[in-house]
Amino acid sequence: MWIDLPPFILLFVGGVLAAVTRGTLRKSIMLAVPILGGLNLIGVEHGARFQYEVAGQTLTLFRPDGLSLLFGYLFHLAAFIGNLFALHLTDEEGATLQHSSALLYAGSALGAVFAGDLITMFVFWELLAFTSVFLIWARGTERSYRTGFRYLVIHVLSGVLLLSGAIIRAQETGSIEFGNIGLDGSLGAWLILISFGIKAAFPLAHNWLTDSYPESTATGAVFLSAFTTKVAIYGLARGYAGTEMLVYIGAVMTAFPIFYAVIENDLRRVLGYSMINQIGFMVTGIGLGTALGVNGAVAHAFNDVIFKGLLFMTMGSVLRQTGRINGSDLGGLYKTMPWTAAFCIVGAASISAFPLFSGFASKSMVMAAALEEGHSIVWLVLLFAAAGVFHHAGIKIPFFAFYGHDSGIRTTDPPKNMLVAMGISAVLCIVIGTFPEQTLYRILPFEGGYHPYDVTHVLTQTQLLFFGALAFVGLQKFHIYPAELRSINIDVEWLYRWVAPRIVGGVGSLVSRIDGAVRGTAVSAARRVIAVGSRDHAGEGLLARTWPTGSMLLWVAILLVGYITFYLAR
Amino acid sequence: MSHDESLHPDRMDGSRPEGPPLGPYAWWSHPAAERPRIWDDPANVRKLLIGFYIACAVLVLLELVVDRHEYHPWEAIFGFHAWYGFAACWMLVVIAKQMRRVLMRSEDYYDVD
Repeated sequence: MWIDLPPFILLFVGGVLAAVTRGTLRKSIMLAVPILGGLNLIGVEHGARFQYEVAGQTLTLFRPDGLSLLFGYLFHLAAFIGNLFALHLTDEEGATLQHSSALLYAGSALGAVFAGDLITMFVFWELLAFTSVFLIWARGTERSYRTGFRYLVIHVLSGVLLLSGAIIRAQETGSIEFGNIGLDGSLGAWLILISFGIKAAFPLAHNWLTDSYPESTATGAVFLSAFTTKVAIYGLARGYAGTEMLVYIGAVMTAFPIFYAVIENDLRRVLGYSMINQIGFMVTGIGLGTALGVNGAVAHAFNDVIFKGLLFMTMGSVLRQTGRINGSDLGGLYKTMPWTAAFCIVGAASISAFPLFSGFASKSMVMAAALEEGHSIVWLVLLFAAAGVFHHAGIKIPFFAFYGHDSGIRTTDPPKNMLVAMGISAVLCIVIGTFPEQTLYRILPFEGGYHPYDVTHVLTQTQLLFFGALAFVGLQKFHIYPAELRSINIDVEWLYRWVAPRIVGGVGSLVSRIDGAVRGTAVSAARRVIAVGSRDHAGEGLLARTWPTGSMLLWVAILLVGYITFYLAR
Repeated sequence: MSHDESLHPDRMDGSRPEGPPLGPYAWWSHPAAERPRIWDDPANVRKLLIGFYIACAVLVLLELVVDRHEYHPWEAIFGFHAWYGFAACWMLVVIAKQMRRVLMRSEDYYDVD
């Protein structure tokens, strides 16, 4: 550590510089800022600092400890890989907007995990939404524009819940410090949990993720997949470790999205569903609350950022090179995008938790923790989900994009910076997966050794995956496997994208019809009065002829009636 | 192989230009023809699958020689992880396919007012 400074500051400065510089200078800033920030965290002293007294409460901007530092390193790494992947962007693609908001977004994530109190966290919580939405809007389509607004509304709502919870807690406990909260039956604790739950894509609140990530830019999805949900996982690990409800919520999260993933056509949306599945493993680990469970959860968060980022990068490359991302339009791309195909397979092997790949070293911790705590059924659900994730993310994504039916599309591998970014991620997946005890396990927040590589575990996991693949081969051979169809599948969002507008529209048209009738009657009555009144006033352009006066008359009358009613009813 | 040739819009479906059938090495002299790739040959796909089936069999048979710990009572069943993985994936796909009947809509479902 050279300078003792809250890490978000450097990233924010970088974000501003990225907006005002161009060319090679900007590229150097994009790469140097996350590297310098990450190096600056090495050997940092633990403990809260940069504290300010505001209205009797202490705001803490920098609280490095085991848990926040793991996410601190991770977010710098993710920002570096993401920036490298996006380095080629041109002005036509909105380079300035995307580069700048990516750095500000990464800074907000760092601000949130190093915040020592709930109010500071709230500020960065909202900034996460406002900085990242530009990575969706930069796509420039009508659809991304609408999706961005939905994304913003949901995340602002999550922030409002966090703020409300923080205020209630401050009144109850007298402090806004963010430590272990737990569900003690107080409203504040519930509100904060729901706020975290929305950002972590809990079931029923998950749809913002699968709605927005596929509509973002080819490079933007890489950043989006890295930060928002992982900040929520950090919040849950800090505040709600050992909350039993989370074990079951997590189990549901691992299981239900994989059904959607199997029938989804947009391959980036498939990744979105598989992301909820992976977050489910983390939430379960946090709910278990043991050292092994929480270590497993945050280790899996670390790995997920890298391998999910890698998968989003490969699909982003496909989207950039071919202009298509639907499984029904793709296939056979291994012929012309061999590197991308190879990186995709590494990412797929990692998310599927193949031995020697990163997912294996962390997912197994959560599953072992579930068995240790006697959650037999949850373990079976997790095992089902572990097989299922291989099926859709491990096989479906590479198979339908790069192999399978030849779509006839002939293109090339993406630019070098994109390939190098994917290459770094792929190497990290293999190194962490092969040597977890020398790498990732060293920065885990809690004590307690875990050895993923024993014979039983390697054998059983390989059996699970190979026979899952065997099922895929069988389903393809017998033509049972559902074809990729140009279609979408309705999800919870149907309620607010289809049902609600129609209810609002129906009520609205009813209201406007009643309003129109009432107004019409009132206006014609008023006109008659005015006509009578103006008979003697010869001349033209009487004010009473115009609409606003008519309705003003009506509203004054209503106000008067209301006032009298309240006065009498008092 | 020529990228420009193969990118001709008329041939985005992967079809070859009309003319006499091209031999397997035609790509050398005939730029419009593509070099055949490894999975274009069904024999290679068959070899891959046979290797895969053998690997599956070996993985189950290994249970006879490896001293495996059991953390869950069901793991005592022979080849538990193998059949559980197979059944899980098969069920997953069959159920998901039925879900389409209820959930599937046209691509512009939300765009139409």
